[in-house]
Amino acid sequence: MERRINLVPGERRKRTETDTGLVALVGTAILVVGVIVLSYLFFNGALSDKEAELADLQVQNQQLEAQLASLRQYQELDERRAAVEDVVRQVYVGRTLVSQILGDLSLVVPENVWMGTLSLTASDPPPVLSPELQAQGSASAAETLGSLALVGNTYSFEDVARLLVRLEQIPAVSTVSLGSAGAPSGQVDPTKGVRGFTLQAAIHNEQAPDTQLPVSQVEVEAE
Amino acid sequence: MSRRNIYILGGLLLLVIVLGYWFLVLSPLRTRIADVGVQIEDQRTQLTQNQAQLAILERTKLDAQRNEGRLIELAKMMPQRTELPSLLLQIQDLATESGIDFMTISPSAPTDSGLYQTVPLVLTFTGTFFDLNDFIYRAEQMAAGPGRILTVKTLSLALVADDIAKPSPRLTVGLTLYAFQQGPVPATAQ
Repeated sequence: MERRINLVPGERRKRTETDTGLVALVGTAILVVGVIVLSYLFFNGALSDKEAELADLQVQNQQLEAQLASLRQYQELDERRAAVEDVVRQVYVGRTLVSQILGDLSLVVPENVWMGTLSLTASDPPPVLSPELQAQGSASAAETLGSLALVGNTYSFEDVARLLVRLEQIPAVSTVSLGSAGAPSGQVDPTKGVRGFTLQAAIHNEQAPDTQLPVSQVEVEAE
Repeated sequence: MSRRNIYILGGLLLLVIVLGYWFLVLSPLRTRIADVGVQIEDQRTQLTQNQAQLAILERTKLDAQRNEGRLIELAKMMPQRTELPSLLLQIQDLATESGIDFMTISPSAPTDSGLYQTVPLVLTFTGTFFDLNDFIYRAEQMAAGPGRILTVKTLSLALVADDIAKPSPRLTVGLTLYAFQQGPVPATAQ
């Protein structure tokens, strides 16, 4: 192999050296492009994963919503039952049980007392307002008292007093007052010293507010 | 072009590429990832709510037959219309069971009381105190049948003149009974 000889004098030769700046620039460019490509792949992959997860969740929700829509009728039925039951219960509880008052009255009337007339007026069950009206602040009417008026006869004021005291023992009766006592009412034997009386009292509903409707008799066979 | 200028130009080019990538590609990508993350959280929340709602609705499905039966019972206690014929028959049955023979009944038009309506019935009859009390007791307990809910509004008793001396005298009874019917359907049931 022939030997190659540079005939240019040493001081005139162009100095050969590595351009490190350019190398660094190119290296940096490669590094930057690599980082860009890798980061893009990483973030794009993350986005794809999240979009797939989102699509999966959306499908699950759509399936659930379809199931819910098919079951909504049962919820409406349940709500309707609850709403009607609430109205019926409020009416049921709002009644003054007059049979109870009459039964108690028959137990407290002294033996020598007999009634000529009896008048009783019970309070109305309270009105049941819709939720909208309740939200608007339309207050339910306060409980009103009923009234009881008795006209009767006996033979002594002692029996009248005894009746007054005993009437107060009836739980649904209060504010018993004597209207008059003395002159008999109706046709009586004038020789027997009959004393007449008139009494008034207030009556009220004695049912507990949380009284429930009669137990349902519906029986459902297990499927 | 001098070497120095080549370095400057190369550096600037790299900077432009990095900034362009950051603002035009990476930032929108990260924003989109964040948006999808928020949507995923929303969907998860909705999924949890839907699952809870489904559990509730499946229970109401199991109760559906019971609810339908209960609504029928409630409609017997408080029907959607006056249903006067059946009401008259029920009152007649009560009177017969209580030993009351003759009765007159005068119904009036229903009146509104919010979500229900009141149907007044004026009854007059003759009977003993215990017949009357038995009749009223049966009327008040009729809801347990289940039958109509009834309540006494007014009651007036007067002795029959000929019976004053008898141990169990007859009374002339004037009685206003209230029956009830359902009013407008509450909004929650619509």
